[in-house]
Amino acid sequence: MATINLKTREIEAKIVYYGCGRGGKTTNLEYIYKTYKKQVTGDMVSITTEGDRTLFFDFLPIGLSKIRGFDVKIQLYTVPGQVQYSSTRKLVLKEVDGLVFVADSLKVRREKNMMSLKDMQKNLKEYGLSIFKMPLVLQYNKRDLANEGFPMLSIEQLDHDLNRQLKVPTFPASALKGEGVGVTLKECLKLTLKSLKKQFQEG
Amino acid sequence: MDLAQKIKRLLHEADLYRSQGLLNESLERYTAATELIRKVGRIKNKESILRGIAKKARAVKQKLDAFEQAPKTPEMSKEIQDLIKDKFSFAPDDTAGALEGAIALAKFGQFERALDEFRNLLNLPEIRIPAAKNVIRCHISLEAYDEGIEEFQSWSAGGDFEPAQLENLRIFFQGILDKRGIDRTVTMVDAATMDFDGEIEMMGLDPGDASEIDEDELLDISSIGIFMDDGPQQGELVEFDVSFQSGNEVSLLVQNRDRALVQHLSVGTKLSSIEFYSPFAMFKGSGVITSNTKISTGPKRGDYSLDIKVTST
Repeated sequence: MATINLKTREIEAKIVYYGCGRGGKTTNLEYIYKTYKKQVTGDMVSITTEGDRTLFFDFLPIGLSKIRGFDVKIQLYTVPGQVQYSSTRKLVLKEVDGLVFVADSLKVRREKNMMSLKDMQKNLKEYGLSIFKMPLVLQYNKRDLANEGFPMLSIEQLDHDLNRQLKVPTFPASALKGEGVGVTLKECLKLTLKSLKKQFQEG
Repeated sequence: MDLAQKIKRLLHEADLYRSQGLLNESLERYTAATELIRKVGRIKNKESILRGIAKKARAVKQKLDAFEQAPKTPEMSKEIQDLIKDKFSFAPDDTAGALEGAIALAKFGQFERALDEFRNLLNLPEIRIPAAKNVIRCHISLEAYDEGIEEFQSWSAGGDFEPAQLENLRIFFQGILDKRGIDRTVTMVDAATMDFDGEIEMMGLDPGDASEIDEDELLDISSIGIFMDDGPQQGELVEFDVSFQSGNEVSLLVQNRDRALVQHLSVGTKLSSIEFYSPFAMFKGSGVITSNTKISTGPKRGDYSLDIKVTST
């Protein structure tokens, strides 16, 4: 749950990038860190293990311009995607305000995408949160690899697998090239701030 | 697709997946290609192709092994530990926040630093017991059983804990050791094994049973989720951290802001659907509220202490 500090006029919210291992979550944050220098308010912290795989999480603080006199501070996190880090994923998800699910467009990762989405739903449920009520966007990453001969999932297939019931905004992307990264984050921020506004109004 | 094309395709995909760090997928394809080549009777440079594939597969396997064997919870730098402590503590007040931060360190496997933090928290009477339990948990996780027993004995020699609290901590510690099949006996130092039978009785425990752990005792529970049948959060799973556990009874500390919720958890209320989260597993069960008390003194004044007896898991 986001915190709102009336004294300092600050709103702090947490957005988590979720998805299967090697899907491009860290690459999204790296691109944001490199590209949106004005908005980035601190260093990006990556806690990795062998082969540059995320071990605990990545963390990147960013700031948005004032909204109705309030400074909006956003903390971006990634979860470790590898299956064995299940408890860490749940831990990182605690008090989440918005989610970006990064799906891998490679055909060979189809089942992993679906399992990861299911895992996210389960972890949210354990915190009493519904995947259907959370600010959530899907990013279909690695679209550029179609040109390199990789067997790919079509957008329609990804929609069918992951977004049939959710019906949330989706974005094709190539995080490595930065394509689709900004628009994904922007939409997630929009949904998250809208949701926070509603929560605060409801008291 | 003829066989040669199929092999070519597999090797191409194996190389592509390797370049993406998808090592399992890459290895699968190298293996499949190898099997296909072996089946083919005549193939030019067969042995040298197989050697080339085997070399690539070995390199992928080595990377996979290195990942598998890498420490799952390596000791992090102080800066990272500070970040964990800060960012994974959500409680609004300082004391609960400090406890939560220390628990987060332990959950991320930073046991040495967590131990230091919990030890500092032993000075705060309102969270002394959960801090002590977590000191014990850290020693268990570090497999430093003798050091843990020594530390427990230093508590029993000091004067900060009530004898009944010490006995509960001893039961807690011994219970974990026994469950893990670790052959150690947790004893108090003589000075503190004074006459505490009366106090144990006051806590609702039979002094005769106090030294024995029920075989069916629950796993060590860190938090629970209650599906609310009633009240403002009806139909929702509400999660609480466990502040203390003794056998099949868990204690929760609920903040005053959640008093509307607490009012629907009066003594005797049966909770038909509870999720129990332990460091090792999550399981479901039921329970009954055995105590619901508003804390009237100390820094937690106004908050509520709830006890739940677990009736089935």
